[in-house]
Amino acid sequence: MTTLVQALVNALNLGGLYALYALGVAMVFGILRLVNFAHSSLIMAGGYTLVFTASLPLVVRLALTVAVCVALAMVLELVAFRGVRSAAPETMLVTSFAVSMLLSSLAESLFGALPRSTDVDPVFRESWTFGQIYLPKINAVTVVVVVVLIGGLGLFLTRTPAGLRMRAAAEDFATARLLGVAANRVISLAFAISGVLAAAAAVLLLGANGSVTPTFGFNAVLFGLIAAVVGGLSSLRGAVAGGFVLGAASQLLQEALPVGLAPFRDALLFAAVFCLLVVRPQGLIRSGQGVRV
Amino acid sequence: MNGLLRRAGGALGVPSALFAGIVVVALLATTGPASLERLAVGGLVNIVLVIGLYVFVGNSGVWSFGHMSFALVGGYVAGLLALPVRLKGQLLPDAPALVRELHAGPFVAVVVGGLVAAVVAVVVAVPLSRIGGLSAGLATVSLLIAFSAVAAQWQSVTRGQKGLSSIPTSTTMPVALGWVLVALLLAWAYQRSSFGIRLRASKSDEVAAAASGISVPVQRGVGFVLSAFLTGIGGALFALQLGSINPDVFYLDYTFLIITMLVLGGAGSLTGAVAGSVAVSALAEVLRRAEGGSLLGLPVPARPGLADVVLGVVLVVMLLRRPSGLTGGRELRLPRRRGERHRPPAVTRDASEPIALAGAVAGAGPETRREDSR
Amino acid sequence: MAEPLLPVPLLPVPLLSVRGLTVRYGSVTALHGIDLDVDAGELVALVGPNGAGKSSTLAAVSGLVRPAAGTVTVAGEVVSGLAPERVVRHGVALVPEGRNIFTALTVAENLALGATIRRDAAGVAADLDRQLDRFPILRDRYGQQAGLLSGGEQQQLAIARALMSRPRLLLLDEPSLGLAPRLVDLVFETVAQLRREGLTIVLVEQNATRAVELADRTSVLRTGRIVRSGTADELGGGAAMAAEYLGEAGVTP
Repeated sequence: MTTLVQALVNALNLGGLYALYALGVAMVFGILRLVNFAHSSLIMAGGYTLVFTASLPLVVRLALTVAVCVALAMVLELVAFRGVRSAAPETMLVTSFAVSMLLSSLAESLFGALPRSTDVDPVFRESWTFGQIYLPKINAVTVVVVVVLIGGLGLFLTRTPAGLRMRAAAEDFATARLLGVAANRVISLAFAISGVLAAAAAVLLLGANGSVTPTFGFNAVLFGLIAAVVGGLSSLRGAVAGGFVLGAASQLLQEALPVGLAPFRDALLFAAVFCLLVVRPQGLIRSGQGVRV
Repeated sequence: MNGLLRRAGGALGVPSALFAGIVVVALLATTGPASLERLAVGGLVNIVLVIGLYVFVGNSGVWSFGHMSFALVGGYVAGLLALPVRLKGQLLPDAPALVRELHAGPFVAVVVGGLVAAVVAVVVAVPLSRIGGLSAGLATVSLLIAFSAVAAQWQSVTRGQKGLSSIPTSTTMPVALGWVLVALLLAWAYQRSSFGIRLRASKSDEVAAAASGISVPVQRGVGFVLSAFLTGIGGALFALQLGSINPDVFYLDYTFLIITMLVLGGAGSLTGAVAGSVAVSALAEVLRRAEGGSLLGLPVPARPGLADVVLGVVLVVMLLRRPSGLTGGRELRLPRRRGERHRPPAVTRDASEPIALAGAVAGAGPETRREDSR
Repeated sequence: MAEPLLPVPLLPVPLLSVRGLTVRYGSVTALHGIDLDVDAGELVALVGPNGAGKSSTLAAVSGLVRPAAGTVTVAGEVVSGLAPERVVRHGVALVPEGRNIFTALTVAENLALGATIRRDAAGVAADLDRQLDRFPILRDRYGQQAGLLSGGEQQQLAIARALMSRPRLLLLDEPSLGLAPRLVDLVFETVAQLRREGLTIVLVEQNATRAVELADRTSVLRTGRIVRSGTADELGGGAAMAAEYLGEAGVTP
């Protein structure tokens, strides 16, 4: 019983994180049909912001992290992605890949390849123990942050005019534009939201890891991408569901795999994703007509 | 008979000219210090890898981000074969007997490395060749991550993160040049064969190609396997040049480098693949010196990672401004000899041209829109 | 910001003026420099066989396609080269072929999106009421997901949504396509009603007979060129028109 509860707690934590990464990727993909590898660069930039603002009060650090991530997301959209908007999705994929590599080399060049460590908040290192169940406080923080962000995003999308315009653009961009929805503004907004999600990811990841490297966030985005693919890249609900499914599957594999195979958990996960993609390419990724700008 | 010979000469004009160019650059490098020669050999290995990727991407129009999986397979297989049996007994006591006891000379090791990569590719190609576009891009990334994870965890055979070392080195300048020639000829023969022509037809219009009886999955599969073979050869040459291999060498960084080379030169032509490799290798070498603190004798503030930053900027600018690359997807134009009547050299325009057009339109103003209204 | 004008006052220039409009898709030229004038309050029909360039004309006017050459002016202001979201602010609304309603959104949300460019909340509410009166079925389905509507209902929603922007110029692309005869009647009645209300309309139709009879003037397109223009009488009546252009012989450029 306790092992089950413990596994559930871990799966929830992992799933929440994956959902957070997946949402950032799906947000941009839904609007632009761009698989944004550079989402990892946003998380990395957030991480370094936290490192370099270590002396400031926590609230200021968090605000700065969000500001940096949002600003970088919007700058990348303007400088790198606006120019390839009408290109094939694969060309956009190569571009985002190039941008993420460029920014991680830039970070290495500026801050060095060695990990830079910082403490987000002492709370992140504490934990509760209920009988035999071990619950790090950061897990609780993670789940709360993820739930608040997902809920807030849901409210924004369903209850505000700007959210309605985003949903319309995600379904049929050309028609949305005919009705007066400004393409550039919607796309910028999508990137800005992905920036907020990246900032949250940076805080939670750094809270758990304690240090930042130039490739910080890259694995997170790989898992987020996979989660988003599992849920059907263009759907935000799917991204959240995919995140939790992947989190649970990961946890399950961890527990269930025989000792000899346990190290191959990631290999199995990604092989499964490969199979999923080749078996149901259309079902998962609809390159619907009239959606891209 | 004479005409036939001349036609054969004409048909091999492009790879011969490309090879001649590569030989000249490589020989120039041998006149420099030993470190430069080592780099030149590395550059030649990269040419093999870029040609390997080009055979699939350039002819099919489908991007693969997972080709380094095959370099990984080729590298490990060749490395394991080339390691002396006695050494393997010490390094890999838990490996299966087959792995521990088989030994081969460097040439056989490289060929078997390529062949094993090709066999793995056959298994992968069966499902993969049915999909294209974004799904294929993502599927191949997943593949690379899975392969890399296996290489990092399969302690008994790969030694995990430690990787294989003390592999006898054998990839010298002549060996590397020889394999570059083989890769050029194979890639050229393939793209001029009916297989290559059919695959290229599917690139410009998949539906029309299928309607005219071309089995797009079969053609993609053939291209993929040949491409994986060459990439496996490249990986094997790499392992036998450095004398070591570990799971991290053929991961996203190397993928990025090879893709940069291909995009920069122009993914639509063999000339582009070669031009891109040479240009990026030369640029990287100049930048590496800049990182070391001097450029053309001038002191430059040392910045590790700067080379990659510049390469990244070059690639992004290229994608934005000229997505069809330096060559624009065309093959080398050979000067026609006077009085000789043969077909003008093939100018292969490829499907990336409309993309280039769209990119140019997009670059022209802040507003872009779809060309087709629905 | 263009002020909505309804009813339309007399303008010194045509409401829509198209000069030398050329549209290319890659190497294919869909429109070869056509000219077209539509006065305020007029209903002009564009007819012609498939691939004649009717839809391309509407796409170019609405900004969906950037013309390769030529100009489009609306009430004297040049709109060619503007993005669609800018063109709609000049009072041009397109009801695209195939309706293109947002199937994942509700009827209410679709209609709200129609008013994206408007800032007068009271006016929007009043217009919403008027459109729901015009198409009572939409009032019944107001909270439903638009994807659940039938084809005819979707067409009504698409027209209502376009009207929510208070256009001066309504572009209708094949509004009767794929509808049952009873619904085709409803669509044509609606178009006639909008015409009576003083709206300027360009109607693209395969159903040439009815379009020509309804329209003040008709232009016949063929392979990207306007081959004939005139009233129904000048063109020899709607039925004759239809026979003429659908048959192979007859119209010569």
